[in-house]
Amino acid sequence: MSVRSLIESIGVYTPEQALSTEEVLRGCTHRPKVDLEELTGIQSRPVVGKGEYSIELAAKAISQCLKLSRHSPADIDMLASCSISRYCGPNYRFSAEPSAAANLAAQIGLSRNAITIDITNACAGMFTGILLADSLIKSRSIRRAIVVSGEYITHIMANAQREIGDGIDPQLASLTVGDAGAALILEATEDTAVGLDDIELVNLAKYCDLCIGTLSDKRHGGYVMYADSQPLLALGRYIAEHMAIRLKERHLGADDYDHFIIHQVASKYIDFVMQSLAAYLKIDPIPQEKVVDNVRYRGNTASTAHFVALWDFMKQGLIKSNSKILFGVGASGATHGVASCILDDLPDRVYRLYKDVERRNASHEGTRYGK
Amino acid sequence: MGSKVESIGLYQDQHTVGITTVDFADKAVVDCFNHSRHDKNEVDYILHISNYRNYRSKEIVEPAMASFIQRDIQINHDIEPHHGHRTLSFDLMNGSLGFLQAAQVIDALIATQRARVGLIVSGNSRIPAGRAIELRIPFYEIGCSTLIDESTEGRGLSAFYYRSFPEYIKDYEVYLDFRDGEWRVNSVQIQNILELFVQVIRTGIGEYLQRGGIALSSFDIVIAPQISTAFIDEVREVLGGQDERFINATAEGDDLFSASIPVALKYAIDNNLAQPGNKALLISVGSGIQVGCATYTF
Repeated sequence: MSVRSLIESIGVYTPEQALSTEEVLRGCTHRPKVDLEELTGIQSRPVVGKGEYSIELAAKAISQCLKLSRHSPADIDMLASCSISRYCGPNYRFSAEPSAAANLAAQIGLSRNAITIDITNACAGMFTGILLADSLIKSRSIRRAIVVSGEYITHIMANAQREIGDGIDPQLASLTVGDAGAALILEATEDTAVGLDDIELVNLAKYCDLCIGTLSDKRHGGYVMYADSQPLLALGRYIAEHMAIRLKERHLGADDYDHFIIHQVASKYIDFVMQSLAAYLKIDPIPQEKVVDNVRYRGNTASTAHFVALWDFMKQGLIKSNSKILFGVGASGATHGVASCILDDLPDRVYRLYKDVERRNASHEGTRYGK
Repeated sequence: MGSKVESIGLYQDQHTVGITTVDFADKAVVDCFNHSRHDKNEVDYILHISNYRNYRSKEIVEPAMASFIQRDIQINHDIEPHHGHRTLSFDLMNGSLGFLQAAQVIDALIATQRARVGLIVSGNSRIPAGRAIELRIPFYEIGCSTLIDESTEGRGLSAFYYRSFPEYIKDYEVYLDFRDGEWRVNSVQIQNILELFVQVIRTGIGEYLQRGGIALSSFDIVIAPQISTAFIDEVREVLGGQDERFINATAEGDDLFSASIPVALKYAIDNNLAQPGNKALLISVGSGIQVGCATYTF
């Protein structure tokens, strides 16, 4: 009997503090002459609080994920940490060793025989982690894996605000990012009615120079990202083409899916990829209610973006149990790809959890206002 | 379907200043394909495993370093989705355990028929001048590239095992930070880190042998971490193995780090120390503190 990987649980952590696009622009030494909100659809994005770094975001996401799971840390055979930002302390501390995965495993008390791996593949990091975990699950080397990412990336926004010049600047895209952590538990299942039924990622390495994250050479230090945004966004056509090819190879159509989650960069980018997909498939535009666009209050949260969107939509009851989801992956490198999965009752569990939290908050608020 | 090492390429240069991680890796990949029966465009996955990430005088956070190597060597670097062979490149980092974990990942990708050929690359280049502080275990500058492909009849890689010792996690740390207007690489390694490595290897390998119900003597070759001759001797002593079974491919006294296993495998093959059917015990140790091991059948 063959097995596949089920998304058994999910956890997302987004910092409470947020920064509006207007505030971001107002904070620039040289205010860019673009309407960034109109261009991207991003109104605000979560920003870490004092003392929160990438590893804390990842740890909080794992904690949330374990709350929804039937499993304890001792049941987990592998932890893959997939953050771009390995930012783990003050003074722009960036860890090389030990791995973030080893640190997280130690924090949560994972089995001492668990595989701990750090993966770096830009915004495709979590999907690369899923691909590896799925391969190890299918080959029966492991039964369960945590795939996690914590992205504290608004520090590149702070540097862009200082360094950006007049006109179109390669750091403009840095003004669109937001901070978040996301974690999944993947588990082996023999039930073919649920789980991950396709994943394929590809690198068009001739475009690897289009987006580079590196250290700032300025006196203020920190990290910077230089992106050649127009050609990078145009690569979205490869995501659409890849999705269309995989659907055709698997004799499926867009109608077979309840939702489409494309890398959450900007609303216009999501629209472009979805229009391109419809064109490749030679079908009418895919109904807007099937397309997940979560950038308005999240911005681009890098490798966590798809799962922050999935979480937010499940929380609101917009993605329901047993939904079939098609993910479109795009990242610098340039990586593009596709993943397809059928959820079990996870959306109901997320929705119920969130409603419980809302009810508890409402009862606290009632007490406060009552006074 | 199992997996085996098909070709190993190396590039060594201890004299030229400023060779980056990617330079070392690129040259090792070229050497690897010079000895391989595979064409470079057959590669399905490229995994870069160096923790040090310099390219063209920059430390790279994004994209994956593997994508620069894929582009430089031109491995399906311009293949669009609807054309031909598709290659994915990414970085997998876990210090000196990186090779073993990358090999396990490729083994799983081959087992699930997602890959036929995978490439593991590393470039252990020194930290740029002005940023480095002394490492207790300096590493040898080397580029290494290992091609892994399908195997049958039980040959190749098997029985991977990992053991973490999180109580020692703070005893070995390497990190970058920015203070007083400059970037620094900082290293925290306790005075007796090598003794600790030997101690955890004894525990980890003891568990591995016990779980497998096997004795160390069932291995024809043991590849311990290639840190130094003295370190290999210490490991041999605590494991109770015979001298000639422990491969020593250490170079000029410095740690071969993430290149330890492939360099030692190549040494064993080139020096006729391994015959078809022989079994090797592969051992890695590093930050975490973690021990990893696996069996390799020639």
